[in-house]
Amino acid sequence: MKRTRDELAHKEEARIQALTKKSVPKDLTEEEKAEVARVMKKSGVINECGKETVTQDSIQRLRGTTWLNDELVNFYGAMVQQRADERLKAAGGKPGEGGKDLPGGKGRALDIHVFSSFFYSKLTTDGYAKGRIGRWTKKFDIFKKDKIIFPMNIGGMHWTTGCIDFRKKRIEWYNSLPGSAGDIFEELRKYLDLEHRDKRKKSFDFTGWANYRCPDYPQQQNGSDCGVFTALGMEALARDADFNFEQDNIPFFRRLMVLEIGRAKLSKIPTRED
Amino acid sequence: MADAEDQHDHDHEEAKTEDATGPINVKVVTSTGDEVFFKIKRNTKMSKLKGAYAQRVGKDVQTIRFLYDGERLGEDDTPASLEMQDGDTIDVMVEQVGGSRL
Repeated sequence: MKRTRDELAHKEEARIQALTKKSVPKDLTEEEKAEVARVMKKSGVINECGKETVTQDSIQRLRGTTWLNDELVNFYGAMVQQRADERLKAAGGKPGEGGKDLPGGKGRALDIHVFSSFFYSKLTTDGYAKGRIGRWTKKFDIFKKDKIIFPMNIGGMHWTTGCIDFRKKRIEWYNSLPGSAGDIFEELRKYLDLEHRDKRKKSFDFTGWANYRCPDYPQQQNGSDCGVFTALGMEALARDADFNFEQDNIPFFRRLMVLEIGRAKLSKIPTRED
Repeated sequence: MADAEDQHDHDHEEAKTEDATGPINVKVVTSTGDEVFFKIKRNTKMSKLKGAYAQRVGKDVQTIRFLYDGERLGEDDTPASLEMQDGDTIDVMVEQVGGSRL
C-alpha cells in the first residue's frame, strides 16, 4: 500500500516536472532583436506566406498593445498551415489524406486546414449559400482532415479561435476573455451540415459530437492582446499541444511574431518542442 | 479607367465570351451585396483590378482584401493564374481589427 502511494507521488512529481521544465523564453537574443528592428523598418510588403501578405502598416501593430488586424492573424495562420504540411510530409503523409501517427508514440503529424478570418465572417454575414462557402473547399475535403482551425473576428473588435476536431468529434471555441458563445456553436454545426450536404449529398451525422470550451484557456489581462492569444492558440491547436502561454509572455510573443513574419516561418522555442 | 479594364455595370451576361483566352467578366461583391462588374484580360494583375475597384468605390486600397473562393488574392495573381472562369465572383472584405470585447 505504502509502495503504491510512493509510486503515485513519484509519478505526480514527474508529471509536474514535465509540465514545468519547458518555459517561454524571457526575451529574444540580441541578434534576433536586431533582426526585429530591421523587419520593422522595411517598407511596402514585409513578407508573403501562402496566399497571405503583411504590409508595413500591419507589422507596426505588433508594437506595444496595438490591436492586431486580419493580415497579421491570417499570416500567422498561413505559417501554422505551412509547418503542419511540412511535418505531415516529413512523417510520410500527404495533406488531404489524413494525419500520420509518429513513431515511438510521439504524437501525430496532424492533417489540418487553416481558414482565414473571413471564413467565419462570410459564413455569418452572407450564409453558406450566398457566401459561396462551398467553393472554399474546392481543392480539399474537410471531412478527411484531422482538424480545421480558424481565427474569428467578433464584432469588429475581438479575436478568438475556432476549431473543428474531427478525431475528437468536437466543435471548439477558444476565447481569451470570459463571455458567452452566443450562436457560435450553432453556426459551426450548421456549416458542417451544409458542407456535408454540398460535398457528400447527405446530412452530417452529429452522433457523439460535442461543443467544447477549454476551462483553463489562457486569459488576457488587458483590452488589447486577443489577437496574439488567437495566433498562439492556433499554433498550439495545430500540434494538439497544451496552451503554454499567458499574459506575461505576450510582450515576448509580439516580438517573436515580428521575427516569424519577417522569416515567414514559425520559430522553435522550448514550449513548442514536442 | 486603365486600358485593361473595361468596366460595365449591366451588360455582363451579353458580354459573356466563349473564348478561353479572351477577356472575362468578373463580379466584385461586398458582404452588403454591392456589386461592381469588370471585364478584364486574363493576364491583368489583380493589384490593378483592386486599385481600379478602390478608386471606383472611394476606399483606401490598403483596407480592402480581395478573396477568390476563400483565398486572398496576391498582387501578381491574374485570372489565368487563378484559373478563373467567365462570370466568376471576387469577394471584397474590409480590414478586421480586434483587441478586446465590448
